[in-house]
Order: sequence, then structure tokens, then C-alpha cells
Amino acid sequence: MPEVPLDFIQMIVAAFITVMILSYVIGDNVLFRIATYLFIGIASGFAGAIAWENIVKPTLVQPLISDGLAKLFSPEGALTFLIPWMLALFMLFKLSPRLSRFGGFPVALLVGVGAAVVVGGSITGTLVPQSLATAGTLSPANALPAAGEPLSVWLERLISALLMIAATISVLIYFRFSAKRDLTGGARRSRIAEVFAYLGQVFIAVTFGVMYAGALMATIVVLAQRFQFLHDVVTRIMGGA
Amino acid sequence: MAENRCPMCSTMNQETAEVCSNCGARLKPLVFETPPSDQQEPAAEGISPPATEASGDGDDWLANIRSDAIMGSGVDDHAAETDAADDAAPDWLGRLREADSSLEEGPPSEEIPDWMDDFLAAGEEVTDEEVPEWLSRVRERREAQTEGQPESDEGEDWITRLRDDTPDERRAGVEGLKPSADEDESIEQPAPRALDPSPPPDVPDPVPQDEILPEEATPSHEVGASAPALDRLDEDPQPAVGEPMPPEGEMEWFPVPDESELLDAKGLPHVPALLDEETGEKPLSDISDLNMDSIELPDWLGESKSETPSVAGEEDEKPDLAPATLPSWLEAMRPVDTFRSEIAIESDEVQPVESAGPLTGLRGVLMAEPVVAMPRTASTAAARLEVTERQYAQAELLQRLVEEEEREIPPVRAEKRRLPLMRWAIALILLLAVILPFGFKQLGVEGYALPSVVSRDLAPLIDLIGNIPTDRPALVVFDYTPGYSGELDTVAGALLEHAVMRSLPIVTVSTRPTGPPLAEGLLNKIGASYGAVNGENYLHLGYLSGGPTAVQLFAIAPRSVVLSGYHLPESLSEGSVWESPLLQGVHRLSDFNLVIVITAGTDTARTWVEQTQSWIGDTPLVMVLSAGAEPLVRPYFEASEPQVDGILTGLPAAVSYRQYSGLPLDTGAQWDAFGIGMLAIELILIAGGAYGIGLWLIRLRER
Repeated sequence: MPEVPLDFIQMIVAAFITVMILSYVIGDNVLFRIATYLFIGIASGFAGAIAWENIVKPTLVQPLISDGLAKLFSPEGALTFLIPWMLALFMLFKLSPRLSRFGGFPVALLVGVGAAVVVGGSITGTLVPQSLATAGTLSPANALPAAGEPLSVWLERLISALLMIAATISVLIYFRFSAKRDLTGGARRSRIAEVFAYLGQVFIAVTFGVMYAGALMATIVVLAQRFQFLHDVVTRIMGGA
Repeated sequence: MAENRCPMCSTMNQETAEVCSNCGARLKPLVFETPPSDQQEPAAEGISPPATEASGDGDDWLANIRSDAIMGSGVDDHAAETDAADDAAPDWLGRLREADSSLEEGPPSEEIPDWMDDFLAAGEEVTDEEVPEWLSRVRERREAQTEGQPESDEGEDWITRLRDDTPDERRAGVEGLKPSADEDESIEQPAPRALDPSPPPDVPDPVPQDEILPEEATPSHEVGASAPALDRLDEDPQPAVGEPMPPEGEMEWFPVPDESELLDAKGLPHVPALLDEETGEKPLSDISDLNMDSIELPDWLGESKSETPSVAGEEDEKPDLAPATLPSWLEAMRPVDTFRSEIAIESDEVQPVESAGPLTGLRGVLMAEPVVAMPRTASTAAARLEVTERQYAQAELLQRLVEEEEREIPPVRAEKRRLPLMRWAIALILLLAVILPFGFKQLGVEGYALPSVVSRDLAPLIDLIGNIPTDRPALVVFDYTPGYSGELDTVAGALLEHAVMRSLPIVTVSTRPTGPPLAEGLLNKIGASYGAVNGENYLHLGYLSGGPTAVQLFAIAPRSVVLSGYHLPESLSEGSVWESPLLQGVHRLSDFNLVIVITAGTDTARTWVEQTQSWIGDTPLVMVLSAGAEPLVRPYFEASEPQVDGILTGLPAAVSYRQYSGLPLDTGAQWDAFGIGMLAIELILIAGGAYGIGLWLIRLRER
């Protein structure tokens, strides 16, 4: 009996699972569900294995095995080893309804630190730089034509800058939800705000359209790549045969 | 000019004012003006008091009554004056006098009615023989009764009998007093019967005088004050002035008062004055001593007074008396619960003495504390819930929601299962569009043309990768899931192949657990073509847990975050990944020559841009994105001071990169499949748009 290479078996299994997923074209069926469950289960198991191999073992277990309990009570180990251990144990208390309140401290630490990091990063990495960039699009250095620059390039750059400013302002006005209350009790924005909000709505629609087109392109690329894979498998099987 | 101060409200009034102009309180006390002793004697002798006293003070009817009682009926001059005073006297008293006069006078002989003539004639003519048998038996029985009683009691004990009689008997007795054939005495002496103390039909009953006068106007002592007037009926049975005195024998039934009683009548109880006019002192030491028991009332009056409640109670018990009925509108207005029909007024001794204000020292004043300080029940208006229209609308909405929850949902009819023909048609078109290009080669059909124009963003990126120094590694972040590997492996493969082709060391990391195997598979595939080996040309740091926080920590101190790698070579399996020669000199993010982030999500791309902003330094940041994520990441690239130095998105850009970077084009069939598939999608979109417009026009025409 000829020996079958492992990668060939892997390729056959992958091709079969790909067909199972593509069977969703005819509707929800058992093959599609089996493939979905397999994917979820394998992904979860693999994530657990990665977490153990990359996180738990090198940070919590390996130092204990190599250095023993003496590391726990050393000044350096108390900060880098004992506290992580205690936080991890507190997280395990979440499994018990009676002791779950002890798990609140590490969760609060994670949420608080995570929120602070995200907000700080958004301000310093997105809000301020993007605002300055938008404000600088119409600066003389950017708005005026450079020496020797073709007129078409300058016009394109100018129109792009105007569009960027108009899009930014109009979208911001569209997401401004405060308005005066009219006699009927409803909220109504001013006429200028209404016009700019409508313009911002147009820009948002164009953006979502572009994103949808990109998703379609990505989907077609994935579909083509899968059929390329199936074509390679069939070719290999046919060639092997 | 002297003024009078009101004892109640301290208001200054004119000296001649009778009542206070402010509170209406009487300023001059009502004091019975006892006639001087020199005037009383003539009064007793029949001299009338001055006419001015009788006629001038019409309200002093009590004085007139007393003077009548004192002077008797024999004074002719006083009769005229009393007639004048009668005009101002109360009506019931006037009627009472009139009744007395008429009854005492008796009917004139010429005015005796015919039926009385019959009785008189019958009394004269009837003989013993003609008396019926039953009448004779009655007479005998009466004679037998009268024989056992002393003669003297015969005249006055009719009142005693009235007391002893039950109401029925009394009623029968009254009926017995009617002129009948069996009572010769009453027939012969009608006048004394008229003086019967029982109230005549046209004389108001003394008891219900409360009904005549208001309740406030009849305090208890006034009843005593009026007693002499009533007493006069008993003590002064003499006929009125000008009337003939009845024979003495005919008045035996009536108790004639002796002289001592007449003298006592002079000392009739006076109307108590509030203050003595001269001394200003209380004339009566103790008004409370003036009670009903101290006043001599006629027996019949005391009897009727004591029996009035019981009689009234008996009348209430009579079933034949219809209860008083009120009109419906009046019945509706009558307070039921809140109205206190009886108010217990305490005596003056019990009531507190006012200690402040103008009424200091007085008893019986209305206290202000119950009105001001005492707790009261809340008014209805305060307890009423005020609901605005908005609250009412919200309540209506809430009620509607509750009713909506309680409503049973009708069973949903199972729709007919329709075959997904439209979905099958679209799927068939797409499958054919993607599958057919793989047979172009066998069929000899030329596929889609390669991109002929390089985008403006691609050339700088190619230059950047082509000029990156290779002394330090490039960090490649694999932040996408296996579902996007079909697209991103193709797109990022061109960039990574270019780096591997230039022998640029590559170090991979991922914030997703599925990232490291994707990195290993792609680099193994690329490295196999260029002889790149794991551990020597590329290295996997593995999984970076912690999200944005871990990214920031990795940017600050990567050695403290990543402790172990992924799929490390055997030489590094026992030690730390940072002992690899590829990572020598790398202590922070800026120590890498290039950072490439491969991701399909905008959040991940933004996280790496934001969290590495402060620590990335001059290291270029390149984004390899899925086509759907490009619009949200491009602002970081197209800014005047770009935070992203290069961007590579989609298969066309990857093909262009390969085409213009000198990399082999191994995407022939995939490129054709992508091209025809996109064409099919565009046709489907156009067909769908045309179908929608056609439906809209048809519906517009139908309307």
C-alpha cells in the first residue's frame, strides 16, 4: 500500500470541509452545520492551547517549576509573579456564584486600565492628529500650488482638500443630535444644520457603499482563492492518479 | 365727647350708640328697669306705668307682662297701654293674649251657635226618665267617684289627673271635655273650659316656642324670663279688662291665688342684666344659679316640659305619621359626614380665659389655635394628583404597552415553503463566473488583462519595502482570522515575498490566538520559495494577549510582554525567544525597521495606529488591509502628516505590487476568477437596480 503524504490528507480534508461550507448555497443542511461546529470547536481548542502555551505556562507555571516557591517571596517575584497569580486565582472565583464577587477586582482592573488606554490612545492617536490634519488641508502650504506643480495635480489636491473638509464638517453636524424643541414637542434643527446634515448623510452613504464594495471584492477574492484551492486539489488528485 | 369702648373688640363708639359699630356687641346692657317704689304702689293699685315706658320700648315686652301681672286686669288705663304694647310683643304672645281674652269672655249669649242652643235646650228639657240607660250608668259611676273625693280637690286636680293620665287617657279626657250630653257642667260652664291650661287649638304650645324664636335668641335664662308671662296664665286667671267676672261658683275649678301669691308675684324673677348700669358691677352674683328649678312654673308647663321628649318620642314611634320628606335637591345638599349637628358648648367656668389680645380676661371667646396651629386634614386640592399632558401621554403609552403584552399573538400561519430560486440563480452565476476561468487555460481562452496602471499609493510602498535596511527585523502583525486568509494571504503574500526576497528578517506577532498559525503557514509557503528558515530568517513571537493594553506595552517594552514564541526552532525551544539573533538590539517598537499590520478589521488597525503613536518613532507603519476596511484607515494615510506610511488593499493592488516589484505572478487563474466574478456581480447589481426601477415605475403608474 503506497504511503499517503500527510499534507495530501490535510488537503483532502480541507477540500471536503470547503465543499461542506459551500453547500450552504442550497440551504441550511447537515454538512454545513457539521463544518461550522468543527470550525468553532477547533478554533476554541486551538485558542486554549495557544493561551496555555504562550501565556499561562511561561508566566505562571514555568517560573514556579524552575525557581520554586522562593521566587514568590522574593522582592522581584512578589511583583511579577505573586500578584499575577493572585489575580488569576481571583478570576477563577468567577466560576462560583458565591465567590464571584472576589473576581470583580481583576475584572475591574482589566476594564479600567483597558478603558483608560483606549480613550487615551483615541485622543492622542486619532482625535488630535486627524483634527489637525483636517484643519491643515487648507493651509497656504497645501492649498496654493507648489512651484512647477501641474495645474491638474493642484486642482485635484485642492478639490480633495475641500471635499475632506466638507465631509468632516457635514458628518460631524449629522451626528449632532441636540436641537431646539418646537411647538409640537419635537426636536428640529436649523435649516443650515439640516442642509449640512443631509450632505453628511450623503458622505456616510458613499463611505458605506465603498465598504460594501470592498467587502464584495474580498468575498470574491476568497471565493476565487477557495476554488483555486479546489482546482489544485483536483489537479493533484488527477495528476497523482 | 365721651365715647364707649366696646367690651368685646375695644372699638371706640359714640356714647349714645346701643351696639358696637364694629362687632355689633351691645354696649348698654339690658337691665330690667325696676320701677321706683313710689311708682310700684300705684301700679299695684291700678295706676299704669308711664306710657312712654310701655310704648317707647317696644322690645321690653317682659316688662309689660310683669306689669300686667302686677296690676291685674282691673286697671282700665293700663289696658289701653298694654294694647299699644301688644303691637310690639311677639306674635305668639299676642295670640295667647287674644285667646285668653276671647276665651275668658265666652261667647255672647246672642252669638251662641245653634248647636249650643240644642245642647242648652236639651239640658233643660231632659229629665231623668228620658236619660238613656247607658248615660245613667255613667252618671252613677261618676257620682260614685266624686263621693269618695274631697270637694276642695275637685277644682285643681284636673291638672294632677292630666299628669297621671297616660297620653291616651289624656286624649280621652280632652275628648271628654268636649260639649257632650253627658257632661252637664261643661255645657253649663263653657268659659272655664276655655281656660283649660291645655293649649287651645289657636294658641301656640309654649314648648315649641323654640320653633318660633331662633335657637340663638332663646338662651336658657330667657326661658326663665318668659316664665312670668306664662306664669301669669296660672296666677292671674281673672278676666281681662272690661270682662265680666264669672260667678264665684263657676270658678271653683280654677285655683284662685291668695294674696300671698299675689305679693310674691311682685318679686318675679328679673331679667338678669349683664352689668349694672350705675355701678358697672354684675348685678346678679351668680347667673348660673338662675336655673329652671328655681323658677316657679305652672304645673302644666313643667309637666309638658318634662314630657315633651317622651311625647315626641312616642310620636316618632307612631307608624301612622309619615316622616318628614325633603325635596331631592335639598336632600342632596344636606351634609352627611362632615356636618356636626350638635356642638357641645362648655359652660363659662370650664372655658379657658383669653390671655392675649383685645379679648384678654374674657371667657368663651373663639380660640384661634384650632384654626391656625392645630393639625387639620389635607384639603382635597392638595391631595389631588396633577397630571400634565406629557405624563398623561406617557401613561397612555405605558398602558398600551401593557395591553400589547397581554394580547394573545395569533398563531402564525406556516408560509408555503418556497424554493430559493433567486438565491440559487445568483449562486449559480457567481460559481460559473469563478469556476470558468480555471478552464480558460485548457480552453485556450485569454484571461483578464493585468493592471496596466500603478496606483499612486503603491509606488511609495514598493520603494519603502525595497529600501528598508535589513540590519534589524521587520515586525509583521497577523491580526486576522482564518476566514480572511484567502484574501489577506494573497495580498500580504506579495509584500512579505518582497521582504523575504530582500532577506529582510521578519518577526511575527498576533493579538489573536489564530494569528500565529496563519503567520507560520504563510511564511513557510513564501520562505520555501526563497530558502528562508524559521529562526534564521523569520521568527514567531506568538500570541500577544491583552488587546490595546498589550499593544501599548509591546510598543514600550516588548521583552516584558512576550516571554515565549511560537513554533520556535529547536535551538530556542529551551530558552527565551529574545535570545534569537534576529531580535538582538530590539528593546522597543522603534527598534524594528518596519512594522506591517495585516488585518481585516478597522478596530485592530486603529488600535495599532493609536497605541504605537508615541513609541513607534521613525519606524514606518504599513497597513495590509482587507478591501472592506480600507475606507476607514485611509484617513491615517492621506493626512498631511500621515500616521500610516503605506497601505496595500485588495487583490488588484497585490497584483500590481507583484507586477511592478519584479515578483512572479502566480495569481493567473485567481485573477481571472476575481475579474469575471466582479463582472458578474456588477451585472447582477445592474439587473437588480433595473428591476427595482421598473417596479417603482409600474407602481407609480398604478397610483
